[in-house]
Amino acid sequence: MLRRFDSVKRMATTVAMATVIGLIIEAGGLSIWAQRLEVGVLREIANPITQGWEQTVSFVHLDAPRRWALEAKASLDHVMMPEPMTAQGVDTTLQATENNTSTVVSQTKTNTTKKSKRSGRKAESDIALPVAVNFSGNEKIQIALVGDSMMAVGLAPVLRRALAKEENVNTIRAYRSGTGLGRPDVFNWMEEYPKMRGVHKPHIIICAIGANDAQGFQIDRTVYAFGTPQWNAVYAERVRNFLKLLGQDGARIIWLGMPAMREPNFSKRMMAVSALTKSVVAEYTQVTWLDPNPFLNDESTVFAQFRVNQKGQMIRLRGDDGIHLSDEGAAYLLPSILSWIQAQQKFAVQKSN
Amino acid sequence: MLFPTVEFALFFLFSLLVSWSTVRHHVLHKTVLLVLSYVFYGLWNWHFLPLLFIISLYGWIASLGIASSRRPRVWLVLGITACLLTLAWYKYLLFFVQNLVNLAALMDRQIGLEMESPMLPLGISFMTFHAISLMMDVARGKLREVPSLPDAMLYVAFFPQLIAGPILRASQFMPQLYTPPNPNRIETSRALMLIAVGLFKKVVIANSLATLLVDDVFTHPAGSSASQTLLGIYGYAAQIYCDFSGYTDIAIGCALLLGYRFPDNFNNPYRSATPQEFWRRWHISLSIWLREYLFIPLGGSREGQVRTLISLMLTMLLGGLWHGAAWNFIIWGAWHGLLLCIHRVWDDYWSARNDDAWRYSKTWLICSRLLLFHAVCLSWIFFRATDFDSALAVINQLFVGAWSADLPLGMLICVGLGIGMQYIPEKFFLRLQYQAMQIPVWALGALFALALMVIEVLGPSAPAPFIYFQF
Repeated sequence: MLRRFDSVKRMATTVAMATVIGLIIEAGGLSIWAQRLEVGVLREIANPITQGWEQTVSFVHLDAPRRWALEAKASLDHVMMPEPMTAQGVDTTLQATENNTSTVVSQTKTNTTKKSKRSGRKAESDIALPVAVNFSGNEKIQIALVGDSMMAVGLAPVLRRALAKEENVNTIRAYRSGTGLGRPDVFNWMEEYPKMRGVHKPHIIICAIGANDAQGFQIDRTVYAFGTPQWNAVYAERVRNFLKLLGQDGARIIWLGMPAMREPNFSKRMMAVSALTKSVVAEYTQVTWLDPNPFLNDESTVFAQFRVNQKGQMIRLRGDDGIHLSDEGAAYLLPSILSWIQAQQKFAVQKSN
Repeated sequence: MLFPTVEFALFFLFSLLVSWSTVRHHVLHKTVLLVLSYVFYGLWNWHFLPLLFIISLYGWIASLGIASSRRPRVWLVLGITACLLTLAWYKYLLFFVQNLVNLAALMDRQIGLEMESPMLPLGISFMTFHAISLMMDVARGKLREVPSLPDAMLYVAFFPQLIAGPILRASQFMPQLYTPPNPNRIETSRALMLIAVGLFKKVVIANSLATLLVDDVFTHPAGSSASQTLLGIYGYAAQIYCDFSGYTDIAIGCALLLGYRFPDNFNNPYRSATPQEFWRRWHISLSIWLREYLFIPLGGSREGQVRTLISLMLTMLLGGLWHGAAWNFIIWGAWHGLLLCIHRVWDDYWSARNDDAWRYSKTWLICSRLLLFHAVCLSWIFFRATDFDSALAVINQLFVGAWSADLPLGMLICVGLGIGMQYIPEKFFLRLQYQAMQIPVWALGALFALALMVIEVLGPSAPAPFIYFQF
């Protein structure tokens, strides 16, 4: 019977039917959703329910439609979707900017080395990571940009534009917004990074990650609340493992800490993540720590959205969200990163000589 | 809370249940919707709930003043000023300060101003436009009575339209609050079709284009070939259409299930042959708002051609600025203003000559559609790029980049779907809706669930936020 309008009863029946069938054929999707929830009450409740439901649906083979759809999508993906592109180019700003900021990086590096010498972990870490960078003068330099939205927004565009001017540089994009090392159940960098870099073996890695990591996580049935010693221990180990993965082919790494954020509580949490990561980075001589705060604001741990440059112009350093860097903000970090890259090239040439 | 999430689905199912179970008690029903709308907004950031209330309060107090005072104009001006000042504080203050400082720097003067922009409340432009519409419609006598405070609050905060519209005029929505929604007149099949189509546009087309093509082309133009850049530009045209129209389709569908009607916000805009037609088809609720409350008060088209052109340009410039406090949005608005002005002069010229039969030929229709589409695409470059230089870099890449045919098939399909779906005859959707009306309710529910599953599987893993949330 043709009907344009329904009664509440008919509408409710339709919606209820959609909900029931949706719950059955989307059992897998719901399970993934529950796993990705932030650690808390909702996840505690939703996770076992959705997992049990998924198993039940799978047991009676009612998950077949979604499985078929996923298989069909996977088989079409390589035809339909773009290959990860790489950017190539040259950077003429390398020499021009070297003198300005290399001291900052060098100081950081020296401090890092001093600290790592004091650290009992140094010897162990040096064994874990190859110490030599593997590129020679004739080879194209593979530079990987790694991280979450702190890399994807602001920093990556600025770096890619700068590096694109260099003919013998190949930029590898290995960043993904909304990810981190805190929740491998949501996005596992240990599995995803090798896929993201593909066949390339980066000589140099610029990494900015951690903005999504100020949250608790769960391993088996144990909940690790953010900032507790147990959380710190697990997170530090994840950073170590990630560094080993990044550096396994001898890549030299620069790790950017988190800048101060507008929201004070979030900023405090970010500073805690940064401090912990910095202490791990200090264990590795071939990893350089770069604190972005002194470049963005004279008062290093205070959030600044704007700064006035030497010409008296007001430059926006951060996005409207008070979290991400604007392109102009990222440009303040650029000279240091570029001079560090150049230092690695010199290092490589010396090694090959 | 984003529309295409499990959280929203749960929230909406609960809202549906609670709102229809209270429909016999009208005041309670509206109170429930109001509370749900505030919960919806508070789940994003509860700190801004007082702001939502205050903006509604401005609108309501000014409306009372307009209706009961001897000086309604004063109340109207006061109310609009309060709304615009609030909007300016959150959205425009820093932009003006930054430009003031930079202008002074150009003249070798330094202004030592240290400021921080406040966090931009989600959907603030939509809230303020609703409050202004309430005052204007009361002033123009378009409402039979001044609404109560809870009704005014519900009009501003009604959750399906709160974050990104469509912009409802008070005269359109308030009458729906006079009586409870009719429990025997729910357009279920149309609502479910709108929600499914909206989700498909947003999750499959817009998100895929954003994450796999457009972001890359606009982030680093030099890294793309000319053909990739062109596809990226067309891709953004398709993305922004699917993103925004997808959101409004979902909003309209949700409102229909709750028993309320929202106006259409898009009507195949890329089929337009003239700039005027484009603005009758693109973001219709904003176009009407700008026409009713800005273009007509500025003089409209009754005060001679020069005044009309000035009003058009000003309206579009302010329309551009409404989208964001940045020069690229102003350029975007100026470009559309210019297109509208050129078209008006052109139209007047040929209309006066009386030998313009060729303008109604099929060939001219196709040419003008193509021309307008590319003019709109050009404006999207400035809209999407982070700054003027980046926009120029994208355009430049079209001329200096290499042309190659290695374009990803998936992206070509997404662009083709995003733009091509607007050329599907209206009859097709009507027939589809007709078919949906005929099938049993259980089958309709099953089809909807199946559609959701396909959308979930086809969508990319990395989400992309709705573009219009930032406005």
